[in-house]
Amino acid sequence: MRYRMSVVVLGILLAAGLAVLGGPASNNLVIGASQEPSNLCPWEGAADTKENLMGIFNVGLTYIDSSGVLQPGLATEIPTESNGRLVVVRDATGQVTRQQVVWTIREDAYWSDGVPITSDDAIFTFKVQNTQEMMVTTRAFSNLVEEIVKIDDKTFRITYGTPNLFYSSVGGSIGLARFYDIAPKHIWGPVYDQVMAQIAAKPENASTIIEGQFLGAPSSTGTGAVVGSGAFKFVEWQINQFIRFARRADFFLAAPGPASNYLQEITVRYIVAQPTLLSGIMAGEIEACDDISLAGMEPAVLRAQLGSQAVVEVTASGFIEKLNFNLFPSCQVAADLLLGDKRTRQAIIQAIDRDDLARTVYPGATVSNSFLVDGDIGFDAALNPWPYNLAAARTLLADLGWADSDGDGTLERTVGGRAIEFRLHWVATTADFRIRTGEILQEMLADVGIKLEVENLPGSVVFSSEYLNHGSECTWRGIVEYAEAGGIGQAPADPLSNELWANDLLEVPVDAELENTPLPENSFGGTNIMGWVSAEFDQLRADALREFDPDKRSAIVKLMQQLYNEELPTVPLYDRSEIVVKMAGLVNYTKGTAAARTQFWNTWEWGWAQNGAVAVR
Amino acid sequence: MTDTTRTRSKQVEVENELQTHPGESQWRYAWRSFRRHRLAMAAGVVLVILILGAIFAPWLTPYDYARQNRSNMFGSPSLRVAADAQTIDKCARPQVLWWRCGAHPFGTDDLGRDILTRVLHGGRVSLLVGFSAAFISTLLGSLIGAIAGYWGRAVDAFASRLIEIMLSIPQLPLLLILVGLLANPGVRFGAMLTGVLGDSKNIVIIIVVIILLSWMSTARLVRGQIIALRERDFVEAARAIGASRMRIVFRHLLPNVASVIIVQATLMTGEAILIESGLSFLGLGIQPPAVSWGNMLSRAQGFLYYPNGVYTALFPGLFILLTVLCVNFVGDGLRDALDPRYHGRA
Amino acid sequence: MATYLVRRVLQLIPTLFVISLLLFGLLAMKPGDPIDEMRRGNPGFTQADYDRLREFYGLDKPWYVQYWRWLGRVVHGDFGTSRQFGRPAAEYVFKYRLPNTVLLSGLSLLLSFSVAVPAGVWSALRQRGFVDYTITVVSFVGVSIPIFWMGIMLIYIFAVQFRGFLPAGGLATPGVTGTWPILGDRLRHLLLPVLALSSLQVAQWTRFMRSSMLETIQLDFVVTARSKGLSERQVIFKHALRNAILPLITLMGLNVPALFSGAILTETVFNWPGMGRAIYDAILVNDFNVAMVSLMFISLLVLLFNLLTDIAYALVDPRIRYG
Repeated sequence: MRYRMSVVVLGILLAAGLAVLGGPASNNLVIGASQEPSNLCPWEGAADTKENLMGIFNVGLTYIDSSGVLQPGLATEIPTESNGRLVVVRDATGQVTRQQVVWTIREDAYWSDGVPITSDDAIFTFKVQNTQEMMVTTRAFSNLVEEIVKIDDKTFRITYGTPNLFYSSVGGSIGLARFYDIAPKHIWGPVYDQVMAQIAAKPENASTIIEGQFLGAPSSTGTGAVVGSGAFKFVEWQINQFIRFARRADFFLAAPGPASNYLQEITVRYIVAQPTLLSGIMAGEIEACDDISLAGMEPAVLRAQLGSQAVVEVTASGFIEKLNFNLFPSCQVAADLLLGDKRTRQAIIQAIDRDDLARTVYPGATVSNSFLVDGDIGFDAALNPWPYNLAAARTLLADLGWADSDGDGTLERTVGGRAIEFRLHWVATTADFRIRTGEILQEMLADVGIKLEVENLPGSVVFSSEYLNHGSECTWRGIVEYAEAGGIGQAPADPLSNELWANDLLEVPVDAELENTPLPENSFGGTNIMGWVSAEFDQLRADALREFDPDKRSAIVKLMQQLYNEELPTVPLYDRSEIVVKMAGLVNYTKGTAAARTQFWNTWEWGWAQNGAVAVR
Repeated sequence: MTDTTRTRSKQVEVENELQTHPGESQWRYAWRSFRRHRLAMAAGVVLVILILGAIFAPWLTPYDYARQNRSNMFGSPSLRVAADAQTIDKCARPQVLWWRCGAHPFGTDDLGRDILTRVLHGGRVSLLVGFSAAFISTLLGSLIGAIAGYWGRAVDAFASRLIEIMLSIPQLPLLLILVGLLANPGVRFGAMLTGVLGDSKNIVIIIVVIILLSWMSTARLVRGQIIALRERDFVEAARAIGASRMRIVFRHLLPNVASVIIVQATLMTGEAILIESGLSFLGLGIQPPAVSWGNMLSRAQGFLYYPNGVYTALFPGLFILLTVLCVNFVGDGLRDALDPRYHGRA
Repeated sequence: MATYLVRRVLQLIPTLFVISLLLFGLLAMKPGDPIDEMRRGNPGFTQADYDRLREFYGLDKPWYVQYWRWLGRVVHGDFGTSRQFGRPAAEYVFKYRLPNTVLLSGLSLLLSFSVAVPAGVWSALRQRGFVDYTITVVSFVGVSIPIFWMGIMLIYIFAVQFRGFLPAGGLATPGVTGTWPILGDRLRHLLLPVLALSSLQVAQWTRFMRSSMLETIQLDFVVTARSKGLSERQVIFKHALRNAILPLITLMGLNVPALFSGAILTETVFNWPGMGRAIYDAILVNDFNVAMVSLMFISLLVLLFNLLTDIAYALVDPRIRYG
């Protein structure tokens, strides 16, 4: 008898837990994501995990509207030469050498706790960014800034030592901080002062102080006031579970119709495993997912599983997955394989069936042949597509002196009495799709006699500078595969983008230092981990960066791509697709343009059609 | 009612008592006792089949375990052959017994490779790791336990303390740390290992780490046995005629403990197989493109929602279960047969 | 007895010390520090910068110096900050991860105990019968089944095949309000992980209970009780069981610490934010402080539980005397 009672109670409890919550009924949204950020500090963090999240409760100086046009966000207007806010200094050839940009912040721009946003905030943000001891993730953009000056409470002027066309780029990432340029001084100021004082008192504890008090400040861990500039305000963060936001009444941008028609609350749930995420979607517990959590899943399978209750959207991500070759002459293993000769790389690209590869491991991805993506200025769609051509690959390899002399299926050649086998080392992270890529490439390259030695290492190893930046010392000896954002210096500032240059040619007078190529001389700093040095490419790049006329810039960029496409210092595989799943009825939760790189813009427009939200994108 | 129950079990026990034949060695008796344990015999036969299957795997299937067939991903398990399978499937050989190229009894995985073939090949790694780790770990543990038990005093104190410390450290995390370290090319030792061992580095590392973490239980067991046997007459006699300590340990004591050691080794095999598959599942064990049951399962997790995706998970796990089960049955049977005290208890 | 106790407790300290040294040394060998990330994104990062920052952060000191510093902070109760989450490492582990593991392990302990004892006793009483045979085979299967596979299969059956009948993992659904729905929601999330985690334990403990029970029934005091004329029920449950269960409780005691760190496979499959997974993640990304504090905690638990079981033995079994 007691047994039966307990079973009944159990059943009731189980059923009670099935209660459906959220969704159109309560005008909320539950987003599922796989990577939880470490903290909410605006200066530090990896792009993937934090960019989306910061976009919910922050807005940039500019934003892209529903038609793909850049609009002023926190700013009153976008600086251009005609309204006098942008002042460029050109040299004799018409190229830009310096520029100054004046921004004015809107009168009705307030932080989520009611304090007005002022230029003091911007200047403070830059001050923190430039403090050498601070663990900021990248200074790639802030290094371009020469100085920032306050003009009045709402206006400030930035002077760039290096020209930057995208001073007003998407997300407003002008380089003052990693995420959303302006951080609240009234919140972070005291934290910063306290941290610097403690460091001055006890310098040997600097790292613990910064980790504990700066990155671990209450405003960063969510235990204190988290203040942002965007449409939603932070409510709570249950670590390893979820983060919640609520709509702000005093936000200055709005979608058509009453604000009550749009989302009132957003919850981001963190679920690491894909099957768990999917089951949550199918059970209705999760109503949308972010753009990275379902990477590598087959859209057809998702559609089959979800039916008409959800929409599966596949878009280009703007990130190109590519094979980076070790081109350092000092790495004997790589040099023996003649990786420095462009014919080797051309042979390899033709030995890989990139269509098949993309289709298998990253459904929805499109094959790429450039270092730019569709939507970037000057993108050339007419480059040599290097189609799958085993015969051409074999011919090129034979020309280089390779032959399978002992019949074991792997090519050999002899150099000065030494017999060298074509064993190519390949490294990538342990992400599922990369493990599969390794196996597929192994098989494809075996057909031309190249033995691919596959090694999947954790991301913390692959992306550590000790590993990646020491290619000249043969830490990685052949290929390392990862993805990089397309573009040559566009925002959002991504430390991995733009790795093809060696000398920035910015010094006056121009010096021969290869800043960007990791070598002993420059203490292995820089992002050109392949060691590709092309004076022609560097010159074109320097010219392009200083050319603000879109057509002229396009022309130069096209030349750069043609050079890249011929030389192939890296072999581009595919432009990764993004899969976003959202419940039917959720509107404006979409990227819009490819250049937007994420759909977490314009959170004020998100809503349920069932509640009257109007679809503008 | 109570009396009959009690007497019945007593009766059954008496009936089951195996009569010893005159002049029979301990081992002969053990073998006959083992034979009567039906489950253990059956398990033993299955185990032998599995081992043979793993050893001869390359010749038993028409497929190459690494050959991909991306036009037939997630194929359903079936004994029938698809239309023009020969050309599509690029087999190593057209037929093995009743198994024709193009038929996939267990289906195909996410890159179109035959699952049964991969299970067989995966068995090679898993069984190799399991048996060698268990064997060497038991040997090592027995040695240390015997020396500690017989030498006594300082040596014993040191060994016991070492065992206690090793057992106090959380086993699984220590496993993770060690494997992570040794397999990491950034660590100097790890890089050196790669240079020396090359491709087989991962297998060796896992075997070594499992040995490092499982010798303790055997050591404790053997130590206890040695201590119990230490004061017996035959040892006394050996000492009296001047045999050295090493000789006593090796020639007199250990053989008496042999049955315990054998049982321990068998049971350890099951554990080692489970540890290896757990490690590979977490991504730290055998790395692709080498195939082991554990890393097959690790990949399968993400494909549960795909049609036929479950088969990539079902079969490797089933084989792990089957193997470990058989090993455990055999171990149990051995314990029954070799150690008279356990007769009827286990 | 008291001296023995004091001696054992004191012995804990050097043991812990050695363990912490060993673990710290191993973790310190893993390459990768925060300055790496800064260096990657900055073409202008010079060697001078790198050296200065390393010295600044104390990262250029050899590992034993870093260990000494760590020890110094630890005795003041400061376990450092988690590199992953910016919170104090101790707070992160004990406030956010430990309770989840305790919940999962505690429930599975309870479940295993409630199933293993009756099953073991029943099996012993019906020795060599059909019941015994079945339970034995099932126990063997339970001991041989890989936990993570069982978890995957459970997810497949209950979450994939029966469309979201049970969640495929996670701790709870946010936004659930009201005591009963919350309880129900938590139960739904707990069901599968507890089942998977208990499988091995139930199997082991059933067999153990069975053999313990079998041994006890043969003992003199049981025969005496029977001959005194007590009912079979009394004999079994009042006398035999009480004695037979003691070794099982000892085994349970020794198993408990392993539940904290060993549940990692279950926690991975079911996305359960517990301590096992926290340790694994911390080791993977080199979150030193979190890894050290959780590992030391578990080591302490193991040593404590060993001590407790030894004491319990001594108390219960008058034949054992510790000088």
